[in-house]
Amino acid sequence: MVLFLRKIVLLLLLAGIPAGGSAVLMVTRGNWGAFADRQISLQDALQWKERVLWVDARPEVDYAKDHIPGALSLNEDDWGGLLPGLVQAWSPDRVIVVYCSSRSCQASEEVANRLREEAGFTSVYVLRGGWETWQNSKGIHLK
Amino acid sequence: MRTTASFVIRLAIGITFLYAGVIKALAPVDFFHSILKYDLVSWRPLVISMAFYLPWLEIVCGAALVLKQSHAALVLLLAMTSVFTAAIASAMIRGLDISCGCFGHASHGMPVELGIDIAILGGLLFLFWARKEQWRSVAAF
Repeated sequence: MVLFLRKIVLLLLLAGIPAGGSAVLMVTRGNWGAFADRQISLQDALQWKERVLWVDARPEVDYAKDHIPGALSLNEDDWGGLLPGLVQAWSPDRVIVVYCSSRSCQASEEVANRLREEAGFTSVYVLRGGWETWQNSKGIHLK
Repeated sequence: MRTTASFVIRLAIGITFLYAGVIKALAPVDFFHSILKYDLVSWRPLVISMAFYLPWLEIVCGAALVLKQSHAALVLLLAMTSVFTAAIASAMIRGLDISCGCFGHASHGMPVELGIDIAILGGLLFLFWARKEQWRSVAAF
């Protein structure tokens, strides 16, 4: 039994060596920033005031019903058609905050990733809780 | 017959973990974000550690299983697969619309990944059953 437990510990330690090496490599390459929080709370986003460029990643139908004032629609269904509008509205001092329907949706993460990786935007965040949080915020955004 | 089935299942599970581990070890940032999406662990240092460590644990245990019928690797893989299965099931129950992240960018939908995990769990339990005599000797020490 002791030998068996030793083997388990050995396997656990063996995995730790390359994992630690991989982490050190990431630090030395200066890539640690990739672990930064890509999500932002509504309160934090509102502190940017008019600098925020809201991006609605929900389907067009939901966007048409209602959306955050000033938000632009951008979803993966019509990426090519909607992206030029965003590029036009964007300026270097603006921060893009993407939202989808709720905490459980993934569309905002996917749109935010594409904005970073394909469109080259750097200041891109995802609104934690999405549209649901905006609606439940009881008007803190109106203050 | 039992020995042949045991050998095939051992290789299949070992290679699956090797593959899943390598894919995630090559992209720890993606795996980090996948873990966060489950909304089960939020303490960032722990999530970062998991993102670096778990893929390598999968690789080491997968390799141990491919090379040898390792009881220690079997126990660790069973523990990991149980946790992964519970995490996927919990995400599905909570209605989270996320990708599993189990195979990095090659991940399928949650129901498929849950099915794969349950199949792996079944395979691991078969390996335990197939080697039950040896387990008695392990427990006797």
